Amino acid sequence: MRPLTLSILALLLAVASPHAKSPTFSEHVSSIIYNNCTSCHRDGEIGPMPLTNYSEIAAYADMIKHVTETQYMPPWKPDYNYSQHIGARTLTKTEINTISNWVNAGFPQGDIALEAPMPKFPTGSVLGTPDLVLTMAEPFTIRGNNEDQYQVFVIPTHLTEDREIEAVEFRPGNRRIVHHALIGADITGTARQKDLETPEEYGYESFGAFGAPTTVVLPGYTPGAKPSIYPKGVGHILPKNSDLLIQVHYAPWPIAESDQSSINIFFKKEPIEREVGFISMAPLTTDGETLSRLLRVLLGEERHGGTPVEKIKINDIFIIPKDWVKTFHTTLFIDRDISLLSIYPHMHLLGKYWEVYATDPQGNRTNLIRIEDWDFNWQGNYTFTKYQKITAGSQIHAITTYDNTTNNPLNPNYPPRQLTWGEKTTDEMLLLVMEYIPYRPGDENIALTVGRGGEISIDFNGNGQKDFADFLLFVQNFGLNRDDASYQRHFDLNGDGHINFTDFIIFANQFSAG
Amino acid sequence: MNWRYNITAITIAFFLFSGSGLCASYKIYIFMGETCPVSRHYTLTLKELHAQYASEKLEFIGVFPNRLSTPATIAAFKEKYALPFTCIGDSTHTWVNRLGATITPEVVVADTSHTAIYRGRIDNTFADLGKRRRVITENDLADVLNALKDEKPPAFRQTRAIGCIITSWQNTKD
Ligand code: HEC
Repeated sequence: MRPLTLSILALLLAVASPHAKSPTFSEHVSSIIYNNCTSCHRDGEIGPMPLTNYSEIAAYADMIKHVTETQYMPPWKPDYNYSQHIGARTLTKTEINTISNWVNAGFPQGDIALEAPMPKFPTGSVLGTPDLVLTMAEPFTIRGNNEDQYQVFVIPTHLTEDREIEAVEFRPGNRRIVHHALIGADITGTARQKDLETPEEYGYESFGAFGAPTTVVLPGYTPGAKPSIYPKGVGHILPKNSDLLIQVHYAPWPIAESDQSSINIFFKKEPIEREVGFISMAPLTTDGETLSRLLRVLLGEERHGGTPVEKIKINDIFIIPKDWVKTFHTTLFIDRDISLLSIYPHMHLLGKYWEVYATDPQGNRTNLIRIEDWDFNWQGNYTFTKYQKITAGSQIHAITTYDNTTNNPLNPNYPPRQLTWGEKTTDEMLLLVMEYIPYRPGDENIALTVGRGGEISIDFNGNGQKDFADFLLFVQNFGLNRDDASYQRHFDLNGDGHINFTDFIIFANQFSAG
Repeated sequence: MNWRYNITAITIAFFLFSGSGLCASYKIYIFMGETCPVSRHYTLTLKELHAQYASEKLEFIGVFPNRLSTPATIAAFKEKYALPFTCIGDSTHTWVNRLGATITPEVVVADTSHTAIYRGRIDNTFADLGKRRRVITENDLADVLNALKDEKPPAFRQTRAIGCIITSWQNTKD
């Protein structure tokens, strides 16, 4: 009886036209804001204004309309229609219109009984009890001079043997100022030495990356992103006696504040069959040396049975003359079948545009990422919603554009000056790092997901049980895409914008997991 | 009528009244939002400008037009960012309407009869939301203040401020 009434209700809701009369906060807008904004916009988080109830949201109504119409918020840089990555934060056209119509109508509250429930935001780890917690030895105080600050902290792991890693979770100490963090491991002691060279402060400053060689780069942190868990049999190895390096980017802030962040590490329960390796793409320097060879060593590519990159080509030397807008085309030649897990594009302040795609020997194209309006502040490592198979003989192409004119407000030089590769704010980079594993048949059908077990909720009707009613709700929404008026995000379990077969597999796994 | 509006009204009345008694010839009204990140960013610049230009004739006043502003939220913001000038609430938008502000942060430089000679941005740090210029090339407010210091009031000028839109809510249906 109950499941039936519920499903009929859901059906009616789905079929009903969005809103004949003007939308109200309770009925139409609260669920959009609570599910897309409040994770960052609440007390102590990085979003500056809390958006946790009607009056807070109404007080910023015109601004919320503006930032959603211009797609400044929620922050998500990759072009969603080009390729899909986990955790995409985008609003549908319907959602954006709903907000605009609501604001234009004078942002009425409506019947408070219809207000959407606030999602449960985890207070501790979202993954459970970590096997190893590494914390910054002391709090670090930022200068508070309205400039970005990039500080590397060196934390010894004291591991007596190599450990296989399933997940890494960065926990900011001060979420208001931590803008992003990169995590790596150093076994050479270089970073430790660098830290000693600046005894007056904890850690050392380094803008471009770690300023030290890393044998493994672990998943980093951006606000609002959930930590990813490596699939069964796949993971990284954290070497014994290694030092963990965290490069923390602190947002520009007008007063001094301090932060003491920590990292939760989860070891694999079952052995790794395929260790995650790295492919990197970087240009030639002025003297013609392949930076990528250097990076290969830095990223420990030699550890993984040799790199699958046969060679690298770039259409020009990596120099960006002043008053120029310059585009580079870099190509990687891949010599074996591999599966890509994630992609991390990186450039500095002149950067405008990134596009990466693969072409196989038959000329078929796979889009990997496009960022139309590069923003250094929101750089990140993007995990594909499923493995991307790259066959032997494929080429991976990267198109990157840099604006070294006065039209680029972020230009570090005024008037502009010629720039080339380097680690400083006033240098540039063209760097692409991808995580890969050797291909196995069937990889392309495996969905990559975030969070552990209960993180994805298939208890759609919220009755505390995963039951037949949830199955019915799922089936009713099957086949919907994000631009359909009745599309509801929580049925799209991998967040790729389509409620389809991959979601069904996730659903089935969750369902049988009891 | 909320007690908050009464307090605001009293504060405004006080300023109107005392304004005529002071010999300050210009007031620099800075519209700010306690939770607007661009307002937060500019607190540093405003402190510097205040140290350099504030005088009996050039008085800085912070005005907080957010609907949820209270004397307590304003006091907390003033203390946290150590603002050296008077801050007043304007959740009824008396000052917003009188001086034509639409954004926080936005400055209006006006004479004692509230005739504006400048309205707009403090400088060109922000080309747009999230686009922070690394080299500031226009110091609009400092230019106006320099001219006033030299007793050469410039003709009215307006620039586009970047920040949080002030929600006008008089006609809301809640
Ligand atoms: C991943 C975290 C995150 C999410 C999700 C998010 N925001 Fe933000 N938001 C931020 C951060 C960080 C800033 C501050 C940007 C800055 O300081 O430049 C911000 C700034 C803003 C601002 C002020 C803009 C400015 O610079 O003055 C508004 C308004 C806003 N967000 C609204 C929203 C709305 C509405 C949503 C949902 C549709 C949303 N945000 C989702 C992190 C987030």
